[in-house]
Amino acid sequence: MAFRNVKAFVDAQVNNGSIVTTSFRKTVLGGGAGTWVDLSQGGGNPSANFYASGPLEAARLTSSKGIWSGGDTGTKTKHLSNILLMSPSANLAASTFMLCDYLLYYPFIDMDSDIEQDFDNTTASINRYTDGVGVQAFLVAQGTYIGGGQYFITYTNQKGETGRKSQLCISNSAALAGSLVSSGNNSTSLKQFGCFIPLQGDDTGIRSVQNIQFLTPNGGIAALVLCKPLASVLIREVNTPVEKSFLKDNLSLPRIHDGAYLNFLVHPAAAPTGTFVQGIIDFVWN
Amino acid sequence: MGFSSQDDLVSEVTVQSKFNRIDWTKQTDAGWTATIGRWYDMNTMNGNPMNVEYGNIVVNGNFNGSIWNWTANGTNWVYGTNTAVKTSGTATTFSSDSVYIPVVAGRYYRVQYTLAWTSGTCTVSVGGTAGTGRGANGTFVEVLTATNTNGIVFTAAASTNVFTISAVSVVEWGTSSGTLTSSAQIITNTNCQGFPWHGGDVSTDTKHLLNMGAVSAVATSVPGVLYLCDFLLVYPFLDAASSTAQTLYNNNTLPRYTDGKGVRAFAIAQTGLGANAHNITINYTRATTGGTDTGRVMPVTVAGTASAIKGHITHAGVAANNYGPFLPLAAGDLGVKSVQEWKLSAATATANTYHALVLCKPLAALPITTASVMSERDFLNQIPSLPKIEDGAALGFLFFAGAALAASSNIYGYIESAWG
Repeated sequence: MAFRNVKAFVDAQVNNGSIVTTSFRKTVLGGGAGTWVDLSQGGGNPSANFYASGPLEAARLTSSKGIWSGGDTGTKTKHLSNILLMSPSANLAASTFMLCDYLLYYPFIDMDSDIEQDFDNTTASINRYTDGVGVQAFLVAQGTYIGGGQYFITYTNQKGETGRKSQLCISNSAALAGSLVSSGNNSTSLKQFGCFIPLQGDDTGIRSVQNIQFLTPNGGIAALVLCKPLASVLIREVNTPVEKSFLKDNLSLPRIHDGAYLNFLVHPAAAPTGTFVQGIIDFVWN
Repeated sequence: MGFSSQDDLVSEVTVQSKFNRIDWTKQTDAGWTATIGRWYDMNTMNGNPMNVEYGNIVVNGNFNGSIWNWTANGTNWVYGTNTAVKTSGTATTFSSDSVYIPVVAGRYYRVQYTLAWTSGTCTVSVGGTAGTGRGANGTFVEVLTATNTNGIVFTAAASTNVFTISAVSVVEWGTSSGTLTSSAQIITNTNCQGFPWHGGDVSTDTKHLLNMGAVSAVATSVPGVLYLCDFLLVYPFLDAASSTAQTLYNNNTLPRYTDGKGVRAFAIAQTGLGANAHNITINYTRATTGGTDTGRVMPVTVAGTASAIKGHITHAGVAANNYGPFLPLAAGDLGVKSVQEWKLSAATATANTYHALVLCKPLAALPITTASVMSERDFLNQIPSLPKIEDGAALGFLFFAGAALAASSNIYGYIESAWG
């Protein structure tokens, strides 16, 4: 369905009750200044996600264990309407929060092993954005690590082409669970990137990942996660709520698919360990 | 009706004076501290308007500063310190002059009052039906079946009896006995203590929210979010010391948003709760769909908060399985029309503690960004929406704490509306 015009959008919220308002509060783990962090692993509400399932086996997260978006809407389509974020932590001021739909993960990758680690894709596959367009991958530490390891992934791209190899990435030394391993601000390394692993050529997405290989040991364990980035919001000041209306401020209403597991990736301006963030999100469907 | 143009709005406000401003103040209780990440019902706080006592039809049942609205049939029913004191004199009866919602013959009423006893007996009656004569200290609860429309009367067995009464509440109840049969009570801005007057009913005009603002000088008030709601219906005195399913009765139905669309439910600690962990389940009727709407249940496990303080929306917080501010509905449900059953997975372990389950319609949010700086929201130019305020709307705020809002903290604000 979606919304044909602003009136339909307003009616859905005001007259039809097609709105879910949900709040959350999470502890931010890991990371250092400039290192992206996976908020899903932090404690609080919703509960911490530990990517706990069979090693190297593809698995999906349960929608209701992420930020609550109100369940499936069937033939109607659900959209992100508003996000409000606030934090009492100075280290989270001037930080980017990227809302993502977590699609699939491969847990317990041994970052010390220099042997190609093959993933089992018979256990699960992505069931949203199934063509892979726009689907991105990040490697997130499930425990402490040392850093410095170099790795790449072999994946199937959005066209169904197999054997695609990502750019070579080098691990940061944030060393804490929840850190996105190859994100960082190391100006001496050309192999640290943003939150996502750079893909081959002009690939625009990933359908599945076949394996990961570390060329040099890194220490620790990690999960490779496939996700669809949906929206980003910036916290600019400590203790100051920031709001984003996706209709008014963004001229788009990102779609939330049935079954979506929602959580944030965070790009903190300073070391975020032990900091908190909380917020309110409105979802509207029609 | 509404406004046909911006010129029309200006004309209605400036020429016709169809405008109202509410200035409000709320103060957190002494000994009360918010927990970051939790939601609270500010209606339960003191201030202006007064604290809400959900469902209580008694006017001045707490004898706030006087015994106004109560009349004795003689001498020596006098004011104590937030109590009514019966000393030896000529009076025997002490009657309420008015109630918020008229008593209906044939309906059931749960009566609760506290008695500090010296001599004689004290008997309460509602709707012409007398309860049990009490001759001891204690807080007493009884369910009475009204036989007429009379209000509340306390009667001493003899004019020489001596005792003190306080904390009187009367709510409509579901059955003639038992403590687990709460009944829906309609909330409007005139039938319940604590909701502000917002200019009266304006039909066939329609009233709309123009602006609102809030400020606090207290550092722990920020960051925070105020959520303006129209409070519609309440099921009070849900026994928190029981894990038995509590049947909720619906003699009264939604007074506004009657199809239930957009109506949300939340549960507060009506009193401080006991220390046992517990989950909450409800069985509800969803907003009208044209099909079968009854028998709906929440799709996820919902955890309440042990030792929740008064006013806390107990299922909203930072623990696993907390959901806030509202109880999650089954997928696709557009709202709650009524609730048929309430159940805790475990008793919270302290007797005489209660939840209240409230149905409301969310209207607008207002973040408080900076201490001592007014946060303001303009619903015409800033967020063009002009949320509608229905006749009889009971306006109040939920509060999302971003800091440990301290005891005895004041938050001030205003709500401006216009109609046409």
